[in-house]
Amino acid sequence: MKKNLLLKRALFGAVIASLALGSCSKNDNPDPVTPDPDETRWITLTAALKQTNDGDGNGGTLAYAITHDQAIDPTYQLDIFPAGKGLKFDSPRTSRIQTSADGKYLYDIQYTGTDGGIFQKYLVNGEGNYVKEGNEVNAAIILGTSPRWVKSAEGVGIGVTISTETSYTGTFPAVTFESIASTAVVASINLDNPSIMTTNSFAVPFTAEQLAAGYSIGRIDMPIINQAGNKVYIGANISKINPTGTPTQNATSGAVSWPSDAANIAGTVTIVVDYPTLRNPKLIWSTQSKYGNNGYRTMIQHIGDDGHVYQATGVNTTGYPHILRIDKNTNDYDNTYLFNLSQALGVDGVAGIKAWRYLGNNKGFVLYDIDRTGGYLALIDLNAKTATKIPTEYETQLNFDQHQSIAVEGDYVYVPLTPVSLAGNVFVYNWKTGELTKGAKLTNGTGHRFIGAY
Amino acid sequence: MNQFIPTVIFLFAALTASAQLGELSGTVALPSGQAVVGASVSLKPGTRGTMTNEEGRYRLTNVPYGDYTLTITSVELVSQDIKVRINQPRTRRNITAAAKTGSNLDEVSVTRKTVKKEMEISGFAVAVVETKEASLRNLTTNELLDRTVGVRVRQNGGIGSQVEYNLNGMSGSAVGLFLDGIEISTYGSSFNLNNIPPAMIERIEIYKGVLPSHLTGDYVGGAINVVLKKDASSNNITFATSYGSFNTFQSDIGATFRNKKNGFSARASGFYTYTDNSYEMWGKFAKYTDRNGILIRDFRAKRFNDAYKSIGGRFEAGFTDVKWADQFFIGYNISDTYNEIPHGTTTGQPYVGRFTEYQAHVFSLNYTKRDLFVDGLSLNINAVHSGRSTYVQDTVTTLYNWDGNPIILHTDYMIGAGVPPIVMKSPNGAQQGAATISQVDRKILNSRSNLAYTVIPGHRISLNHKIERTDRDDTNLLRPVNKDLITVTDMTKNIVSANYEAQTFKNKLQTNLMVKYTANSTRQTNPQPTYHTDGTYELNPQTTRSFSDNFGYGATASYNIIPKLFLIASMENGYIMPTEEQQYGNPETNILPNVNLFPEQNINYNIGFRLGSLDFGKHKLSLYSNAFWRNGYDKITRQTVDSVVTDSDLDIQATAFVNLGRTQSRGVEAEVVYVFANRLNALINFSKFNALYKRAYDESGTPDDRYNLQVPNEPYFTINANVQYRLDNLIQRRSVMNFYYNAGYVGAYDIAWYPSEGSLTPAQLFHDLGVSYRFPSGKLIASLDAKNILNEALYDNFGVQKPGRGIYFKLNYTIGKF
Repeated sequence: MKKNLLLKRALFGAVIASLALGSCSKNDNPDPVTPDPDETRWITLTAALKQTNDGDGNGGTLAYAITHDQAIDPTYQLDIFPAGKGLKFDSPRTSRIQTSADGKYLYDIQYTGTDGGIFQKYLVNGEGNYVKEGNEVNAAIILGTSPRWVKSAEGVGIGVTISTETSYTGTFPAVTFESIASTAVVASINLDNPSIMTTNSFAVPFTAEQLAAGYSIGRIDMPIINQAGNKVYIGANISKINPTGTPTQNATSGAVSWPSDAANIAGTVTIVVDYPTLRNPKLIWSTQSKYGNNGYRTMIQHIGDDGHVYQATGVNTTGYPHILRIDKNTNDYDNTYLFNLSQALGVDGVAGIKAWRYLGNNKGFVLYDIDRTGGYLALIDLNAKTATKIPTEYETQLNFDQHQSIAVEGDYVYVPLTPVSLAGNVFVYNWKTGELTKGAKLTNGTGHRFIGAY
Repeated sequence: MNQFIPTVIFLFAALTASAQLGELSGTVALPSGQAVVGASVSLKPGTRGTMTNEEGRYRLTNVPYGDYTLTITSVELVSQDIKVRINQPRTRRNITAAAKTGSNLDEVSVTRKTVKKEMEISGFAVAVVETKEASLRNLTTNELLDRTVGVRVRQNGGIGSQVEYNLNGMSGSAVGLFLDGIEISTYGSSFNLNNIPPAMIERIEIYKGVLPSHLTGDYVGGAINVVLKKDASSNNITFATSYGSFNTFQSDIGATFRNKKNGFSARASGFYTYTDNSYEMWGKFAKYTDRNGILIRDFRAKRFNDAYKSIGGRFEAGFTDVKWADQFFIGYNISDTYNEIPHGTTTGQPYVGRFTEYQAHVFSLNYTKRDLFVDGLSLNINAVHSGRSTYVQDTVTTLYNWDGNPIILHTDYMIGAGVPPIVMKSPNGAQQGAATISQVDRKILNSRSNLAYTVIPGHRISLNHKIERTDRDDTNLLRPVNKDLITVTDMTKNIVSANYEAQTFKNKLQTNLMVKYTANSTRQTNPQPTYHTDGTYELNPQTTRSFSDNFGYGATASYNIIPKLFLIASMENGYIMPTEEQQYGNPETNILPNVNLFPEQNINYNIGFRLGSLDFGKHKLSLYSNAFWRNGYDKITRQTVDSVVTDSDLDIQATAFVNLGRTQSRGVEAEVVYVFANRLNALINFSKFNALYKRAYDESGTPDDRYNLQVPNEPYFTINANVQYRLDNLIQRRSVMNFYYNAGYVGAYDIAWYPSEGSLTPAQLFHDLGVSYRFPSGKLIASLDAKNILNEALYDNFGVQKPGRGIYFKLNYTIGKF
């Protein structure tokens, strides 16, 4: 009943707003009426709570939405930690929260816990006012209770998981390697009317030679639907073992494994499947990079204005400096293209991309670390292959391992920056003018940190 | 020959009459085995006489050799005369006396200290639960414990599911569970408080915080000691069987035998329990997934794959009250349990085909002797050797819904696209994680010896030694592992403790000082294999040893201020070592390993009083209250919810134990008992405490904002009330009918540090009713119990619903004196 009322109010608000906008286009006079709350672009900020150890992020996620004016106001101070102020996601660990492009909805699949693997959708009504909307979806039946998923296109979420099985002949330790079978599972979720669309499970199509050479994929993530809407590109942590190395056996599980041979990996790999059937899996290989590209928490594949997909590299909490391009016409790597953040910044060491967002005009906003320390911001140009560091006072104290989302609205990029346990600010960056505003002050609590803007 | 010996002895006695003095001692007990306290014992001819003590023992010394008549009188007993001949230095005569029948006893007030009373005013914060009444009803040992002041039994479902005991906010490894002073884990998961029937139990002692020396161990939260029936003074057989809701069937049988001539005694008891646990769940964590993957909550579902079957027996034979031993028993305990596991830590996903089997063979030796070699020196040895095994199987790959059918995905999109339905397979391989068939065998030696010496009456010193050694052997039956290559860890634990008990100030003050030394030694052998290209290997085993030890101490005091008012206080400062299970994990109880655990230190204080029972004519009232202050440092606690290593793809519903900084628990418990004319018996108790997080500053020295917050997932407020009403001669003459009512309340508590919609466990209140009827012969007792009569949704852990309304019927039959 309450939900219906809210929906009606939302619809009514939308009608009023469109009328108001319609009249605006004819009339340049500013509207004297206060803007309807439904038209406010709320910026949701999220913080990861501590469970046991400071900064572990395992105590769950808190969300609270502020306006652009509040975000850029350095006198605005926000403490989202008092109980009941923001939305506490039930998920005991930092769940993967995604958002609609307009910031009006949050989509979440809980990560572990009583409701691990359960999808929930929230309408963003501003501040701590989030309203659960639509069905809950049990993604755990396909993806398990700690699923990897992202919003792959507006209205579509895709979750992925993969498992490997090593086959060999003989009895340990007299064993001969045969192959590692990698079996991927992909599921699509309708975000508009929450439900599962379809799922498919398939063997990753390595060639017989690649299998014999010890190739496998241990983790996949960051699925994106291409501009044409007919393919899904899935990032993969490509790995290779040395079949002639000395095997070892896990004393508990009995699993036999061979030593890693990462140095001889031929290139970065992406799994491509058809959309919406999720069938017809193919592997595409880059000759420009050898890093994995499954990322960790934040989406690292984006469609550029040119329609190509730009894909950053990174494996779990380790970011890598490369951005690759998948051609919209061939659905294969453009093997002439490589963006190298370390080179573009001119830094010694590895500038690892932890999170990034495509902005427009071939520009991107990057969160990175250097040799796995610190937390830095940069504006990059994917065509000119340049990068401009955006200094902040917290950069040496930050850690972007848990970071989940970068909010972009119009010319502005929003990032909340707080070192673990310490206060910080919302930073608002005008990517067209290059102006950085140290905005709203963020109060922090012991062991917590802010991890995203939506 | 038969006449020859007495004749010789008589002649010998007559010749040495002037110099020959003997001692006569023994016990006085009711046919049930209960000791008779304060019975008068007199010897005629002559004026020698005494009273039996709290254990029903008497002793008459310096009795000249000769023939006498021993007369036993008591308000409780039918007087009895027994002929005795004193013709040796020590003569024992144990007497079983018939009790005077019911009604006239009600009129007489008898002052006697039962074992329960004696313990409760000893200075320890202790509650003693007598199981006699419960054994006749449909009550499990766990239910009995849950009603006790300051005890919260947290069970993850129905009968047979995993149990944790919380004593005023202390739980997990801080709480020791003992069976006759030996860790109950020694007996394996097939013989525990889930299935030991109250009929096998004499009493249960619950020590909060400070432990007596006969229960020393790594336990600072307290201990639950189950004292099994020891009595073998009469020959009888008891049999009880019950049937009730959720296809629950429970039976137990007990038999005792004693040859009065030579003291040979034997006890045998057995039990059988079967239940389907097929109760309904309907809360928000009872989930159903439809063909579109849409989740439906509040799905009313009957639990399945939750059968529990347990069978066990205990056989003991030995001698009681013979010259060389007060008690000498050799025992064999066998138990076997089959337990289906219906879900993981939460009820989110039902499991099908995951089960465990436990088996244990336990041999025990018990020896007690008072006045060994010299008067006042007593020795007690309790040694147990156990071989127990745990088998876990989980190989079913299909996922199921709570309606008992496989989850089938056939979404609107799939139908439109002509995709056939998919039967969902577990993303993990099997129901919980990867497919598993494994067996863990443990060989455990656990022995406790106590040597006590009464220096002068009222001053007693005792020395305790406990040794525990466990060998654990894991076998992966699904994917065999070459055991040559496994790292093996052995752990041996020695605890030596000493205490000094004193009664001073005209026996008004009782004090007990204790010191404890614990030494753990671990030996780890790493085979360090070297592999050759042809697949052969050679081992270069490297053995590393580690040793850790610590000291602890404690004290108790009890002061009898005015008659019937006792002030009791105790304190302890001790360490707890992490258990093998906490360190190395235990798959069958969903516990992940955490080898980085370190010992926790605890400092506990208790202060309280006991008053009563105060007699106001037909009304009797007793009061008890205790305040406690527990300080835990590096407290070992189960993590609120599962947390797996960030960089691993593991996704199992399991939890690990962690050292949770400093904690403090302060609270109070109290109990009031009211009795009216031996007809109405009413009891109410409560426990309320604050378990607080005590890390004041983080690593950088900044104040921690969780300082002094309530630690999540601790039920911190509980109330229990029960009323019993007795009606005599209601249906038949000489019959007894009892009505029972019990209510339990648990205050709401949050399971996570930061509250959210789904994290609050709501307040719970439940009511039970019962009635029992003793037929005039006294041999047959029937009882009927209705539990959770209002069918409340009850929870203990992570939203796992417990049984709703259930009705159980039980018959008890006793064959005495054959």
